[in-house]
Amino acid sequence: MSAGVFTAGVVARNPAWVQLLGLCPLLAVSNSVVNAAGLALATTFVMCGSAVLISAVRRAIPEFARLPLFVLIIATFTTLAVLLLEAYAYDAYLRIALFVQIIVTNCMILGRAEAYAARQPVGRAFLDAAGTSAGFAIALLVLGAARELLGQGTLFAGMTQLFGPTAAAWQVTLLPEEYALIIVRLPPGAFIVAGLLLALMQALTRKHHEQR
Amino acid sequence: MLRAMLSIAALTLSLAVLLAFTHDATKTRIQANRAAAEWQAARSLTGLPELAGPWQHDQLPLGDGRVLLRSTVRGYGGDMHLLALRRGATLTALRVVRHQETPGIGDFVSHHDRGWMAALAAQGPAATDTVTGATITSRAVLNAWHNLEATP
Repeated sequence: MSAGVFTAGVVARNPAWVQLLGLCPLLAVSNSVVNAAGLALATTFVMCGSAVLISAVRRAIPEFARLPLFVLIIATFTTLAVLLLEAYAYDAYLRIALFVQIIVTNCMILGRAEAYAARQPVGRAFLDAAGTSAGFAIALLVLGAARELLGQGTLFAGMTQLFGPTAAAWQVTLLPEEYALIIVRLPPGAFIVAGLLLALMQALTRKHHEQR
Repeated sequence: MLRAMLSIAALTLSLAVLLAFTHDATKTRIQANRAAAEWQAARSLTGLPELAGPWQHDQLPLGDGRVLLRSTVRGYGGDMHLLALRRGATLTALRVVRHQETPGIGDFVSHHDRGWMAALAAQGPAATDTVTGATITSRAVLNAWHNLEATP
């Protein structure tokens, strides 16, 4: 039962590929795995933190003031994420700070707060938030990996920004640089690759439905 | 109603305390990160690998006739932090170290070696036009150039 709460967010209700929520940061930041991972970490932090807090104080929140209070809580966790990022991953901060700041407007987080965390006990609210963030993180990382591979020919370049010097060995070069498609790294490429991935997801799930 | 107001106040207050605590806990690290980034930019600007302070009124004489200057100007999205090199009474180079300009519109200022910033460095501020759509950003950089050249 509780495992179902988690996996629903990853698969059946995946925020990016099924509900098409939070697409602005998804498209903007997914030009490499390291940027995608940074935003995924920050979103997970904000999502889980605000879901747990909202669930914990749900009985004290007056019905008429719930939306402003949810936004206040989400904004607080977003600011915390920005401060922590600037203190502990400054290079990543310089590249993705703007998109971390707009996590506050990510409708996926407010949506889950309103639909789930505000009515469920803390444990289940956390599982739901973790599942939804995991679904968002997987979508971000898949898109980031596809764009980095096609646009730059590498995978996991620059991971030292997030995970320290040991991550320097993670970089894999799969395509020589002269075969890279620069447009894939630019904003139009985000739409093209995301559209192709979305079509692929649709095709896979349709096959799945037909088999049943 | 009173109960609702009290719980709103209590929640807001505890969030503010949480923010204040984190701000305080991360402050020194953030300042150290910013200073390190500024020194790195200064080393790359001057070509001197062993550069160190202390700054005297935002000026750092390099001993070879050049002076490293730093300055803060108001851009479109907030303060822009700049470093510049002056030889005699002319500025020879200028870099934006930290800024909050709009990505894709005003953030060209962070690339000192291409585009508008490279043109500015090559031909000076008198011959450089402001950028359409980023007037405030580019005018701030041009004004900074004039001001840095004029500072005694």
